[in-house]
Order: sequence, then C-alpha cells, then structure tokens
Amino acid sequence: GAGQNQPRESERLLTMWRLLIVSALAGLVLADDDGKSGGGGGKGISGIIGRAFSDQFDPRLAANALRIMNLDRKIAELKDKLHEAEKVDPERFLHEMEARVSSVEGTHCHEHEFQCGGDEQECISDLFVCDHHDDCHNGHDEDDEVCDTEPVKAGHTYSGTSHWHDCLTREDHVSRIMITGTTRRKFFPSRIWVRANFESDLEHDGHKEVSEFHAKGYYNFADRRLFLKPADDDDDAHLSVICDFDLGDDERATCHRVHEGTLHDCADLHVHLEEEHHTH
Amino acid sequence: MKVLVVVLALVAVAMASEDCDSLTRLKVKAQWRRAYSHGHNREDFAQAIWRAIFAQVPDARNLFKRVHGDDTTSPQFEAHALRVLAGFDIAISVLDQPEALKAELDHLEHQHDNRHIPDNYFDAFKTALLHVLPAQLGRCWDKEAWSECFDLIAHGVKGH
Repeated sequence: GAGQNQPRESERLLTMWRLLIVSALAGLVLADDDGKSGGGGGKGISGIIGRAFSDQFDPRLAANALRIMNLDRKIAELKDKLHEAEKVDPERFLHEMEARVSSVEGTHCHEHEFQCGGDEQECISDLFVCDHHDDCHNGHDEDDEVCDTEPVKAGHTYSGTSHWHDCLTREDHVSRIMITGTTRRKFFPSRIWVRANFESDLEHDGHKEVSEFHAKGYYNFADRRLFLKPADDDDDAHLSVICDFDLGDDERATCHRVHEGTLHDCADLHVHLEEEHHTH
Repeated sequence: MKVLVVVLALVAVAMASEDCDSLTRLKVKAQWRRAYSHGHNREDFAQAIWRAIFAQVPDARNLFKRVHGDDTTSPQFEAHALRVLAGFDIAISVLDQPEALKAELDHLEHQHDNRHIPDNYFDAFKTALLHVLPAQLGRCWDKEAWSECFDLIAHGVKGH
C-alpha cells in the first residue's frame, strides 16, 4: 500500500523522525490487520512493534500526523515549483511569438488603420477603435483585450536602457517613464491623453545626474502605441518618445527617441514595467 | 542689432499666441491639409468628429433629422458630414485671404440663420474638433492656434 513509500521518503528527515515513522508504519499495518486484509509489510516483526506501541498512543493518529507533516513539506516544494513555473509561462510565450510574427507579417492595413482580424480580415480607421461603437463586423475593435487601459495606468513606471545610435553622443544609460496622469474623454474615448515624467540617469564628468522632463501625449488602442513629447512647447532640448506595446503583454514595450517633426529615430529603448512599491 | 532681432522674435511669438494672426492662420492651414486627408480617410475623420459632437450634445441630433442624424453611419449622414467639412475646408483655405474669407463666412452664416443653433452646439463642435484633430495628426499640432482660428470662423458663422 501507500505506507511502503514512507520509509524511503523519510530518509531526508532526522533519525528521530525515521524511528517515529517506522513505529507509525507498524501501527498502520496493525490497524490494517484489524480491519481489512492487505498491506505490503510482513505481519511478524511489524506486528510485534505495533503491539508494543499501541498501548502508549493511537498509531493511526500518529501515522496521520506524519503524513500531514510530509504533505506540508511537499506543499512547500510545490510552492517553489510554482514560482519557477511563473517564469516560463507558455501562454505568455505564445502571445509574444504571435505578436512578433504579426509585426513582421504586417497588418495589410494602411497607416492609421486597425486590423479587425479573425477569418474576415477588415481594416477600419484607428479613430473608431474603442469608441464604444462596433465598427468591425466581428466587433473586435471593442474587445476588452484591445481596449485594455493597463499599459498607461497612472502610477506605472517603465524602465530600460537607452541606446543612442544617432543625434546625441551618449553612453548607454537607464531611462524611466513614469505615467503621472491620464484622461479619457467620454465623447472621444478612442485615445487616452497621457501625462508622464521622463527621466534619464546620465553620467557627466564622473558624477551622476538625472535629466528629466515633463511629457504629454496619448495612447492609441489601435496600434498599442504611446506617444509622448515634451509638455513645454519651447522645450527643444528633449526628444519625443514612441513606445509600442508589441510584445504580446502590457508589461513590456519597444520604445524609440525621435524628432517630433520627422520621426527620425535617435535611440532605442526596451522598457519593462517596474514592480509597484506598496506602502503598508 | 542682435538684441533687436531677439526682441522682434519675442514680440512675434507673443503676438502669435494672442489671436488668429496671419502666421497662426498659415499654421492652421498647413495642419488642416494634413488632417483633412483624402478618400475613405476623410469620411472617417468626419464621422469621428460627428460622433464626438453628438456624444456631448445628444439633443443636437434633432437638428439633423433630415440627413439621418440618428445614425451617423448612414450614407445620408456621411454625405452631410462631408458637406460640413467641405464648408469648413473652404473657410480654412481662405484664412489668409480676408475678402474671400468674409464672403465664405457670410455664405455660411446665411446657411445657418433661422436654424436656431445654440452657442453650446458650436462649443461642442469645437471640442470635438480639438480632440479628433490631434488624434488624426498624431504630432505637430498647435491647440492654441486652432482654438483661436476656430473661434474666428465660428464667430463668422454665428453672426454675433
């Protein structure tokens, strides 16, 4: 029966536990003998030990206690395994692959258009995506998953390393995008107007400094794109930011620093949503 | 000399932010060209503006019964929406030609009198336009310039 496994598993436990299990096993066999026939162990020795202990305590309860302890340990192991499993999420991986392949394939729609997808491919204007009015025949433009506002939730901070390949001579440095506020107009819900802080950890002559600017822009559901430009119109010192949430989730985005006028690409920046700091 | 240039530049900037002056008009014209677009895209742009108007002032649909205002996707209303934008397009296009602008605004005023359009409907139009435009343009747009020049046109159409 199941009791046979226990001595082998208990080898990792302390000697004291090992002894206890032997006694408990004996009790178990004894109990088995009383009731129905069976149990893998021989009747002779275990029967004797069982009888010796049965006067002091209920062997069945002892055996159950040990089983519970064993289960406790197994659950702890399972927890660790679950934490490991979180790191490799097949669904997330598939989403990412799907998103990557889709972006290579293209949507077959013009710029500023949204692909309705499904069996019947259809393109609609991005002005209609998530405006509470079904414009796709399959209604995909109003799907919860398309209209998820999670990417630009106020309070979110995205960080990553900026790699400059044009416009400015800068070593790779860490940048952070902090979403400070959002507005979604009831009469025009297809955009989320966003305010953010953009910070860069720069190093000047050996000492560290943070360069930051206030940014404003919008999030477009249709192409999952966040566009931010310096909020101060006279601010020519800072470049605009374009972030595409194109990796199949709401946590990661591929960003570029660009000139607002030409969209000329100056730097690449892969950002990741930072864990939120909870204050208790 | 340099100081004078800087001062003049500052004056120009200050003036530009005050009203729909000639430089601002050119800016609005150029941005409108980009937003107004063409073909199917233009229909969608018009559609988005009207959806945003009716979302703000649902009662305004009553004014558009004749052109199927109850369903903004009906061909009749699509046609009407494009007609409205065509009139707006003329007004924007002649922003830098005072006589032509005056003539167009007088014409539009004549088309709108007797319809008893409350001022807040014009405000709804402005608000709709000022949200759909940046969505359509994406970048490089000047909200203040648009606000000032829209007021100028709306004032002409309202006639007061």
